[in-house]
Amino acid sequence: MKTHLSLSQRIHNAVGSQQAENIHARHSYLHGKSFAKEEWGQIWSRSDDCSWAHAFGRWRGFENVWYGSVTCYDAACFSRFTQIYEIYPQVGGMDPRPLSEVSCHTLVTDIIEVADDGKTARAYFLTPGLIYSTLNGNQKKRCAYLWERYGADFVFEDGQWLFLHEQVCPDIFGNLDDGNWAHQKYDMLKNPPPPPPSGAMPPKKDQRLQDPGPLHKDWTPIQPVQDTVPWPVPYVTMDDDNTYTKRR
Amino acid sequence: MNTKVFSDDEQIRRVWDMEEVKDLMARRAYMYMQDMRRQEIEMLWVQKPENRETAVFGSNWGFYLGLDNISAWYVGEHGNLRQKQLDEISKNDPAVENKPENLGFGSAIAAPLSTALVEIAGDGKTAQGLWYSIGQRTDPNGDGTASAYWVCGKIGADFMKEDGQWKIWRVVEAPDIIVTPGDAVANQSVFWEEGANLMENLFGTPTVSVTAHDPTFNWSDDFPHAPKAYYTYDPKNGCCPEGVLNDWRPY
Repeated sequence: MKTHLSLSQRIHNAVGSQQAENIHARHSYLHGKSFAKEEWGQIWSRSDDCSWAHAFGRWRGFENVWYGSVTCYDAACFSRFTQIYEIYPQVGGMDPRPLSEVSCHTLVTDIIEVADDGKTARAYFLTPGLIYSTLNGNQKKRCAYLWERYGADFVFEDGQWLFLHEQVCPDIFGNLDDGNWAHQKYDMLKNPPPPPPSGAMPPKKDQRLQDPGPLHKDWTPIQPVQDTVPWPVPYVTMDDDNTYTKRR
Repeated sequence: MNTKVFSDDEQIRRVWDMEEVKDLMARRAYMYMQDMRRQEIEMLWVQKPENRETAVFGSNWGFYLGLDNISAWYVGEHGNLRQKQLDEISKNDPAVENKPENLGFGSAIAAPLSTALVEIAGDGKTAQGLWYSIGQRTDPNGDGTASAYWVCGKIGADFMKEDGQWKIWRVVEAPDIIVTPGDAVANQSVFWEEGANLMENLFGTPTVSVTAHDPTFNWSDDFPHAPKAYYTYDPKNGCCPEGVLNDWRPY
């Protein structure tokens, strides 16, 4: 009940808990449209402390997060547009970004804690999601399931709650609805894909990673259970024991 | 919404409002699953005459306007479908009695809600919400078999307070993915063939026929909208025909 806090503080923190859900949901709907500029422009803290992480690593600082999550993401969207405009000329004049795909990371099973000092909030979510697009270069619809976990930190800045840290942990992925992740992973282990050519450059987006990955591994049948983003526990103030991005 | 513009009393009211709105939609999902459509309309939707008139139920292909039209389709036509299914089942299997209690025999539908994004109006009179549903629909074929589908899409809703109680005012269900379990979406034709879309067929003949959401272009049309912080309800941002955007499509 947090009775050591005043009623006013508890109300502030109750709002913070709801806003953690709302902001993460707003991310889901903006990301579903591939509206990266709108997402990072509207619902993220611009502090040097902000970070965004995936299995492949972590960007730290708003400028680096923007480069990876907006600049490189937009480039991928525009690249996909160049693969479809001659096949489907009706897309001419449309915003290329939502035509790229719907990365629909649904949110369920949230566990949220707001700091006693009311300045930050922390949340864990499961995301049993879908990634799909209708118009593709191979003239086939595309739809996959993707289950991930999120660890997210939020900060209260100038009267509003904003994303501060996000860590994405993908677990299983496959075609909807004829994919079987267990079979696919077994096949990959038995017949691993060839390694990249010697001296190959890492993907462009990886070049500015401050914490190179892997930070989390896709599920396989030959690894222990991971707990990369443990649930938040009640806390007083954000510190290295209560964060999804420790200071270096 | 800047939390500092509200007093503590107002703020805790708004916190409670948000939970009530989410609870209301969860109850709708329960009733949808249980085929309690008449009860849903009577218990969860607006009832004041002026609000009944402006109630809306929309989908990708248009809108039913007014609660009477909504009920005629959502309750009446659905009831006719269930009766037709039961007639067929009873004909093929006399052990299944053709009686009202058996309506829905062999069916299973669910539209669980995730990814809640809810905004309470600054004036506290309305609310708007958006959810994503990875759902399923299973209908009996009448011969002891059934047909199953994954049905996935956004569900948007507008709410109104009537005598201090939150009520559903407007709903839009916008399916993106409709596929038989075990079949790959990639094997579907890119563009739906005439009459092949299950959910379009079930949507009947709405009051207003308009393309409100076209998943051919993914979420380009942004409908139903992700609600933004707002002070008073504007239908241009609502789950209604006025809310349909066309500026994303050049012509």
